[in-house]
Amino acid sequence: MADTTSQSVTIRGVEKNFGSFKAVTDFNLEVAAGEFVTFLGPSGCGKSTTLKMLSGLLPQDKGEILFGERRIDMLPANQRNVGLVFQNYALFPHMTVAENIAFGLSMRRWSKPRKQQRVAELLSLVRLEGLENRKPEQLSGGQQQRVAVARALAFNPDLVLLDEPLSNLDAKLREQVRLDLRDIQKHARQTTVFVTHDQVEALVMSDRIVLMNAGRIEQIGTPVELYAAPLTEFGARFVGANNLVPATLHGDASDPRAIVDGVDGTLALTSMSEQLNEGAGAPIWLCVRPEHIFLTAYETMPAGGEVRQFNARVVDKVYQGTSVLIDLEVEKLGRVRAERPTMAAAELQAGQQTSIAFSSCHAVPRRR
Amino acid sequence: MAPARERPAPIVDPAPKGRGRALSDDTSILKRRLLRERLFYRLCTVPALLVTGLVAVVPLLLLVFNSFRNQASGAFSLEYYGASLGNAFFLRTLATTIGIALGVTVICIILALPLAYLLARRTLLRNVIMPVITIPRMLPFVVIGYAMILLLAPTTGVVNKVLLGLGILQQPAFILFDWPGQAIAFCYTGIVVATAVLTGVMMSVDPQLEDAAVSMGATRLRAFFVITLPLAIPGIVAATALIFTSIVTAYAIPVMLNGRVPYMISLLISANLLTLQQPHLAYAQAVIVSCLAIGVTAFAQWFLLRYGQRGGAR
Amino acid sequence: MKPRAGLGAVFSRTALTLYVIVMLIWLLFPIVLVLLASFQGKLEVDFSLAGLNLEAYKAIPPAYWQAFWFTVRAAVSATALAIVIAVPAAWAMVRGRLRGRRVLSNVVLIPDVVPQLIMGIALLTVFIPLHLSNNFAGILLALVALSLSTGLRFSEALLEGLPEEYEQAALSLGASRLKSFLLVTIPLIAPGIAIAALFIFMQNLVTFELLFFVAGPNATPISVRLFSDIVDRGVIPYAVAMAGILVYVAMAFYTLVAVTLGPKYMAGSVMSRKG
Repeated sequence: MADTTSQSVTIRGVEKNFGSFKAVTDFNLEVAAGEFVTFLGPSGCGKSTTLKMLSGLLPQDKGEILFGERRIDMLPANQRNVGLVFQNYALFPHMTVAENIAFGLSMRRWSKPRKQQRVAELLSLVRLEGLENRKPEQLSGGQQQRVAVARALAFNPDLVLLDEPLSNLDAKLREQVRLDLRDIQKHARQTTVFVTHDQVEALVMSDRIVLMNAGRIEQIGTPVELYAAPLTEFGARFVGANNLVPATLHGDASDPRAIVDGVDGTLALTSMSEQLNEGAGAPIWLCVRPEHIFLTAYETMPAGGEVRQFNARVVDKVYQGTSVLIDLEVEKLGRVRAERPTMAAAELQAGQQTSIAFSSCHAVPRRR
Repeated sequence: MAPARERPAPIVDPAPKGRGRALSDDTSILKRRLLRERLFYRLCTVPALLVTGLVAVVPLLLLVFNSFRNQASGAFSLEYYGASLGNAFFLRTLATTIGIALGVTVICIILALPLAYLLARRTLLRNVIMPVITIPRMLPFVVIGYAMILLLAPTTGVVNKVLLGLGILQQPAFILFDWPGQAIAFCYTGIVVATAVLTGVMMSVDPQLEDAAVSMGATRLRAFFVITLPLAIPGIVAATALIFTSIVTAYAIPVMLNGRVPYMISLLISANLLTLQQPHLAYAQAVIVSCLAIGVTAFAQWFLLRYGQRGGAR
Repeated sequence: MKPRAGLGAVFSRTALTLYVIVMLIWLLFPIVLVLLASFQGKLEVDFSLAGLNLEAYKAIPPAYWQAFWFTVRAAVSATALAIVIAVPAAWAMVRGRLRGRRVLSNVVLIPDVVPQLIMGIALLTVFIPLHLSNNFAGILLALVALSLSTGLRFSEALLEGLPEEYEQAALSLGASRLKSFLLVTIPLIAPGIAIAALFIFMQNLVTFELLFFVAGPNATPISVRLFSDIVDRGVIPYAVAMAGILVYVAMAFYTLVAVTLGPKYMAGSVMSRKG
């Protein structure tokens, strides 16, 4: 595999408006060369719009975009040396797989033997050897997707952009392709920006995630940071499921505590974020992930932190294979969702009274 | 109004050294590129506009313009409009034209409607009959004129030969070069067009609506009148306007099958233009007929807009 | 079920069948008459089918064939020109998202909407001083103006049906807009354009009223030739034969389109032409 010319990408102050609708506002990001960054967010948050601006298909209203040291935001798409993988793959139906992959090379006037060699390289990279002369309509969805990736990588672009390329695949295939893509990207050391609304995808594949909402960046961080320490309520709700318990700050910086609304006594806050420098009495959320809600009737709590236990009634139980989702109506807390291994919750029935508990080290406070 | 800003906005952002071009240069490059793209797109549409403008719009404007000018002196004048609209002969011919057109249109629509319905619902029938409907529309009117002559000629026409042979007629019927001949010819083309257009209209009404009515106890006939027909009305109105205007402005058939008395207005107009050396009069009359045609079409459009999308359209 | 309803159903079914048969006969008879007469070489139709011959066809004078090939040349050229003008215009309108798009569509529609009689008269006045009357170029221009709206409508529909992603993909891979248009857009809409060209060609072949006013001895489309002969000299056997030939051309056209597209298409697109 030839050395890639992958560049770093800098986006500064980019903005895009459609009439009075602010699609993207004040977008700032530095992507290192060879990094895999995901734009994550719900529909309409501006992630695809930003991707289009990176590709050059949509001109930005304000701001600059640089590949490496070179400013490229005034260049049209065909001068930017960017590889783009569309959600529907957009493989040229009237060309064979080989012609599709070689299209970018033909545009760059590569010689025929050089093109052939490169096409062969890429076909083996995406494990589609032997399919050079097929037409796209003769390929399965997963195969088409790999051809689209090969086509985008063929000419060693400065940046590879993928616009929700996995949404059209069925779940099993999606899992496999996720890992494949990641492997290819690591192998090629290709700077990549990936757009998706599926947070599991983002968590699995990315070096860093850019969480977007309503045209703005909510948070940039590694998957672990985004999952364990979301900065905003939106992030807490969007990335992974979360139980948000209303509480009030109590105590001070040396001994931060919280009072859960409707519950006597205080709870130590063992995980604090720097942002939470409010004074006592400030309203907060305590975010507890479903996998940290324990069924005290059937399992032992892990040690550490202060534990609070509550009575609860099972409302619903959904079997997911290795784990079970349990919706509970908890006294004083309201509706809570727990996720436990199937074995632990085996005997639990809907309507049953039981008790749950969580530890203060799993209660992440966030501003309300 | 906000007070004036304290300091003017910088024209060039203070970019760090070593970046080469200033910010504004790059932004203006982008703006210029986008402008060039827009210009290129507009340029692509110029030939179409040019051809239509020069070959259609300009001559039409000239026609309208000249209809208001005296032929000899070139002065502005409404005389041709006055001469036409005050002329009994013109008005009578216009009336017969409208009368024939209206009568033929109504007959054609009524006759074609059931067939169109059947064609819309029965794919097999449609596949068989489609060539029969399409091919006549791919022929010049003259062929239809020939067919009419072969059919209706006094001594050699099929109809006359059959009727005389059967003894129903004692003398050949001279209907060919008279208004019945023209009307029958119009009926032919009218039914062809009506069937084609109305089939499309009927196909656009969701058959499931009718099926639902039948499943609730209505007979197929009742369901047709109560459900399908009302939904098809806008399309039927459009078809009516189309056929009506095409008959009013028809030229080929009236000339081919003309008798002593001109029933169709196009004959008057062409006579003024070609034989009587009265082009400006012809223009004025053409404008009058156009207004009629456009008026009818516009009414149909308005009707369609008002009652068009009433649901059930696929 | 009441027996009366059964009888009613049978009655209505036979009535319906009768109606369809009558309508079929009505729709078919002119063509049948013309074809029959063309094989009988007379001015009347003899249903005894006696004496079928090709005399009338053999008697078609060179002037008629000249007019026919003239018409074919004019129709082919006009179709080609109309396509070449309409496709880029439609592409610019659809991809370029031009703001004056509806205005353009409506302006191009004018020759189609205005009755051919009026259009012909208007053209006559303008063409004479420009020496375009009695002239191949004049006929060509008139046909192109008439064909543009159909061409534009077809092209617009085709381009809107083509997802923009293909051209965007080509751009992102380094193709210039022109290259992406030629290498990606055109091949993908080519089948549709071919069908459009076929329709437009047939329309141009049989246009009469518009061309009548700008035709002349040097430029006589076949429809005008047949028309003037019937007006001046009445029905002539070889004229009927020529009319028969036009019927065969129409049949060939229909077969071609039906084979490539399926009959369903005919109802929609033929519907739009005023006939």
